[in-house]
Amino acid sequence: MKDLIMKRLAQMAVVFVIVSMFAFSIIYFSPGDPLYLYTSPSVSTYKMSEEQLDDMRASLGLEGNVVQRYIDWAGKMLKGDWGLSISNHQPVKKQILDRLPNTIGLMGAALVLSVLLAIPLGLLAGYHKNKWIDNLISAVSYLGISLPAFWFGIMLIIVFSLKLGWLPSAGMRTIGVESALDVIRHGILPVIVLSVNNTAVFVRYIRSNTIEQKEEEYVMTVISKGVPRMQVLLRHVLKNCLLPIITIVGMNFGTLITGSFIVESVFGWPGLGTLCMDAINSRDYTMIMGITVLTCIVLLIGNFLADILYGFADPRIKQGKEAQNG
Amino acid sequence: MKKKLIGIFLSVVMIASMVTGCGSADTGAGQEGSAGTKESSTAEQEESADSESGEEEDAEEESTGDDRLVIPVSATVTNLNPLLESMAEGAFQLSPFADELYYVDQDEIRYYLAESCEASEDGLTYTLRLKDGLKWHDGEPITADDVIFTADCNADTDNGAGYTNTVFVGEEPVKYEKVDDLTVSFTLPQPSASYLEVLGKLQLIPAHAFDGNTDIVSAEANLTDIGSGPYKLSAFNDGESLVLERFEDYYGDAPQIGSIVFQVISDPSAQEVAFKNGEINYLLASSDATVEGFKDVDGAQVHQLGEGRVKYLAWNKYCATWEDRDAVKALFAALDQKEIVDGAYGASMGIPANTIFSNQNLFYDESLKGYEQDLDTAKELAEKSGLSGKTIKLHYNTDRSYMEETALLIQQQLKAIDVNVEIEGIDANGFFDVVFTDKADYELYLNEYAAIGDPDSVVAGMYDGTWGVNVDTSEEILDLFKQGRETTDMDKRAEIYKELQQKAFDEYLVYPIAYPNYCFITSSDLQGTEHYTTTPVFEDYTKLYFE
Amino acid sequence: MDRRAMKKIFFSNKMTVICAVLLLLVILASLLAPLSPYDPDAVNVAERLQGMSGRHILGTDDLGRDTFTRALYGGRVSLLVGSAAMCVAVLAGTFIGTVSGYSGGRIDMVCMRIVDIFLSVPSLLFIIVVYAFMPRNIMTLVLMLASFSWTKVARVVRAQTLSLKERDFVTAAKALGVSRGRIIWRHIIPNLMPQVIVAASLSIANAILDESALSFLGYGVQLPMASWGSMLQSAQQYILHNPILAVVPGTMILITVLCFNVMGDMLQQILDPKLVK
Repeated sequence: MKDLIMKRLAQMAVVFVIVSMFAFSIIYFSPGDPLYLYTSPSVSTYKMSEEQLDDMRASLGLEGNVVQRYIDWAGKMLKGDWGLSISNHQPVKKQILDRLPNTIGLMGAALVLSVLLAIPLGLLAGYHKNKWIDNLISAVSYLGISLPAFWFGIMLIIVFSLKLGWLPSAGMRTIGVESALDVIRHGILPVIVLSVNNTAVFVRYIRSNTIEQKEEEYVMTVISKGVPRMQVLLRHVLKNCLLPIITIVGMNFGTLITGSFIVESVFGWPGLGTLCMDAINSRDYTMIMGITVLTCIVLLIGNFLADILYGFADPRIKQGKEAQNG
Repeated sequence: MKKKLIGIFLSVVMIASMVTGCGSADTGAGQEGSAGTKESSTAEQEESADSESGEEEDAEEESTGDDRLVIPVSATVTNLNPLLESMAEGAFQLSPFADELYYVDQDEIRYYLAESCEASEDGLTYTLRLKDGLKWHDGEPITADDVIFTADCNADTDNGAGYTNTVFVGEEPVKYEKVDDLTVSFTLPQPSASYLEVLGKLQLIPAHAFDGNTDIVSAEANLTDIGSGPYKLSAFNDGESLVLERFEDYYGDAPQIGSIVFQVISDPSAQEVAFKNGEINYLLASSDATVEGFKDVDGAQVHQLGEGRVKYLAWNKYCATWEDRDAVKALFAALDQKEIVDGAYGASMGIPANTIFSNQNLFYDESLKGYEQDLDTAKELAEKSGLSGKTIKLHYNTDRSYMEETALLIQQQLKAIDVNVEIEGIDANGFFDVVFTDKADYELYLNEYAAIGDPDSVVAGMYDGTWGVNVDTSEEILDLFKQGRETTDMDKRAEIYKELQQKAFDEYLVYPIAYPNYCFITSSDLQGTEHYTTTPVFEDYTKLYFE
Repeated sequence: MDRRAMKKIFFSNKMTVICAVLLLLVILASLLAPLSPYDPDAVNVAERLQGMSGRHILGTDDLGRDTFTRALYGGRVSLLVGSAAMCVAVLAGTFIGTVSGYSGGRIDMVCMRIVDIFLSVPSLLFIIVVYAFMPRNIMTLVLMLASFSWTKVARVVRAQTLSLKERDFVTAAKALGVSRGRIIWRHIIPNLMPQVIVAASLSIANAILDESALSFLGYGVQLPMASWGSMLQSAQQYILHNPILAVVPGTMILITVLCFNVMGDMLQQILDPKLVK
C-alpha cells in the first residue's frame, strides 16, 4: 500500500508539471494583450508608442519566449511567490486566498447538503426498489443530472427573489449587515443550484449500492436472524455505502469546481470563479495560472484520495486482505 | 487495524467537510463587524419580503440614522488609484472618491479642486490654480506638489497611467512647473485646443502617500484612502463591494447622503431584480425592455442622457474588396439605419447618428443628413463594383452592447445586394489587435468611440491614424483636424469642424450608426438627479439626497 | 442475451419508451425545421419581443425572429454538436481504452497518465482559455467538448477490456497466433459494444449540457446560428420581461438531456445482468 501511494504521488507530480506547462503555453499563445488597456481607444485616451509599451512589458515581466517565462514563473512559484496580478498589480496569492474561503464555503455547504440529502433518499429508493417512492426519487434525480445549472439558477432567482421576494438575488452579504445569517440567506440559492447535480449522482450511486448490498449474503443472514429491517439498513447497508460515497465525492470534485464557477457567475458570488472569469477577460495571466494551479492541485488530490479509497473499497482487494488475516 | 484507520480517516473527512460547510457562515461573521447589525438585518429581511416595488426600503435606513445609496456594478475597482483605474466601470466608482480639477461642459466650466485654469494668448501655457484649504482624506493639505507628483506619475509611462495625455501632446512632453504652493503652469510643445478639457479631467493622488515615488503600479497605497472627493473609503471588499462614507472635511457642499455603496451584481437581470426588491437605488438600463418596464412605474424614475459615443461601421481600406469606391457606396446605400437602430437599440437606447461627431460633442452639426438607404442604387453599384456575390467578413467587439444585434441586422440587410456576411465577434482585449492593423483579411468592423466635449481628442485620434489605422482619411480631413487643434477662436473652430463633418460624409469615411443613450433608473426617493446632464453620472455626488 | 429479450425489457419499461418517443420527436422536429414558414435568421424589427400568438406560437426574440423556428434549428445545432462530440469521444476513448487495457505495461501506464492529465484539469476553464485562441467554429467546439469527455469512455472501456482479455475466446485466439490488432478489432471491441453504447448516450447528454454552459459564458456557436445554449444566452437579457425566450430553449435542453440520460441508464440495466434481476 505504501509503495502504491508513493508511486501515485510521483505520478501526480509529473502530471502536475505537464498540466502547468500546458496551461502556461495556452495562455502564452492566446491572443489578446494584457496591455490592451493602454492600446485600446475605448479605454485609454493616450496611445503609447511601441517603445513605451515594450518598457512596460519589461517591467511587468511580460517579455521573453514561452520557455524562459515558464521557467521564471515556475521558479518563483516553487519559492511561494505567485507573482503580481497584471490587472491590479497586487499579489496573486493574497487575492486568491482572500476569495478562497468564499468558494470553499459554497462548495463545502453544497457537498454536505448533497451527502445529507442523498443518503436517506438513496437508501429509501434502493430499499423500496421499483416501488412508487423509488420511481419518484429516481425521476427527480434524473432531472437533477439533466438541468443546465445556470438556467436553473436564473429560474430560482426569478421565483424566489423576484416573484416571492424571499431571498436576495445576488452577492454574498447585504451591505452594512455583518451577520452569519445574512451570508446564509445569500448562500441558499447558490448552494441549492450547486448541489443539485451532485445530489442526483450520489442518490443514484447509493441506490444501486443499496440494491446490491441488500442481496448480499450477510445481509440476508442478518435479516433472517430477525434484526429489524431499518436497523439492518442503517447499520450494515449504509456502513458499506459510505466508503464508495467518499470515493465518488473525490471523483466528482472536478464537476463541483466547474459548477461553482458557473454558479458564482450567475449569483455574483465573490469567489474564485468570478475572480477567474475576470482574469480571463483581462488576460491576467499570472492570476489565471494561480487559479489553474490551485484547482489542479485540488483535483489531483481529490482523484488521488478517490483512487486510494477505491482500493480499500474494492471488494476484491478487501477479500484478499481478509483471507490473509484469517 | 486497517479498518480502524479507514474509520478515522473517514470521520476526519466528514468533519472537515462539515467545518468548511460552516465556513461560509464564519467568513461572514469574521469580517470586522459594526454595531447594530442584527436589528437592521432583520428589518431588511422584512422589508425585502414585503415591498414589491421598492418604494419604502429606506424607512429602515432612516431609522438607523444613516442613509445610503447602493449602486450595482459588474466588478469592483481593481484599486483606488484613479490614475491606474482606467476601465470605465472603475472610474465610475472612483468619482465620489476622487475629485477632478474642473469639468468643461458645453457652455460653462465647473471647478472642483481647481480655482481656475487660464490659457495664455498663444495657447501654449496653461496656469492652473488650486483652491485654498483643500484636504486629502487623511487630513493633509492638497498642494501644487501633489499636482507635480501626479503629473510625474503620468509622465512615467511604465505606470500606464490613465492621464498620460495631460503630459504629452502627440509624442512631445508637456513641461510643468510649480509656481507657488497652489499654482502650477503647464507649457505645451504645440497648441492643442482640447488641452484645457483634458487637463480638467485629471484626478490627483497624494505625493505623501507614495513617499514621492512615481513607481506607483504596485504600491500598497493604491488600496488605501488616497482620495480627495466628497466620500472617503469605508470598506473595500474585492469582488464584492466598495463602501464609501461622507468625508466631513470636504471643501465643497457637505455631502447629504451618508454613504455610497458600489455593490457587485454582475448579471443585468439580477440587478433588475435587486432594484425591484429595493436592495439597490440605481440601475443602468441594459436594454429597451428595461426602460419600458420602468416607465410610469411608482417608485422608479427613468433618466435618459446622451452617452457621448459614436457607434459606427468601418470598412478596412487595406482590403481589396473596397478598391472600387463604388463598393463602399453600394454598402452604405444598402443599409437601413432606422431598422438597425430600432432593432438593435430600441426606442430609448439610441438615436440614429448623422456624423462622425456625437450629439455630445462640441461643434456637432445637427443639420447634416446621414446616409440613406437606396436599394436600387445599391444593387446597381454592387453589381458594377463586383461586390455582389461576395462573402465578406465583419468583426465586432463582443464586450460592447448592441454590437451583436447590429452585426446580425447588417448581415440580413446586405443579403438584399447579394452579399454574404460572415460575422466574427472578438472580445475586448483581442479586438483592437485584430481590427486596427494593416491586414487585409477582413472587410468590415463595428466599433465605437467616446465622443464627448472637444472633438480634438479621441474623435480626432480615431481618424488621424493614432487608433484607426485602416480608415481611409483624406489629406483634406487630416488638415481640417490639424487646423481645429491649432485654432483657439471658437467660431473659427466651429466652421472648421462643420466642414470636416461634411467632408467625412462625402468621402464615405465610415458609416456612423447610432449615438447610444445612457439610460438609468433611480428609486423615486433619490433626489437631485436632475443636476446631471453628462455621463457617466454622477459628476457631483454632493447634490444627491434622499427625500 | 438475444435481441428479442432485450426488446422485451426495453419496451416493458414505460419510462424508456416515453423517453425514446420524446427523443424521436425532438430529432424529427429538428430535421423538419425547414417546414416552418419562417427563416430562423430573418430579422423583423417590427415584430420584436412579441409574446405567444397565433402568428408566432412561441413569440419572437429581440430581433423579431420566430422563437419556435429558432428552437427547431437550434435543436439541429445542439444535437449535431452533441452527437459529433460524442462520436469523437467514443472513438478516441474506445481506441485508447482497448489499446491501453489490452497491452498493459508501459503503454497502459502512459495512457492512464494522459487520462489523469485530462481529469486533473478544470475542463471548463481550459475550454474557455483554449477557445479564446482557436478559430471559433463548430469543429473547434466539438473537439473541445470531446477532449474532456473521452476520458470517461476510456476508463470504462479499459476496465472492461481488462476482464475480456482473460476470457477463453481471447486466450484461444492468442494461442492461434492472431495478431493483437485483430484480436482487439474482432474480439474485444464487439464485446464492448454495450458499455460503449451506454457511455455514448451519457456522453451526448453531457456534451449538450456543456455546450449550453459554454454558450452561457459567451463561447458558443457562430452567429447567426443558434443552438439552444446560445438562445439561452441571448435570452438572458430579456429573462425578466420575456421569460419565454429562456424557458423554451431551457426546456428543450432539459428534455433532451433527460431522455439521453434515462435511455443510457436503462440500457445499462438491460445490458448489466446483475441489475436486471
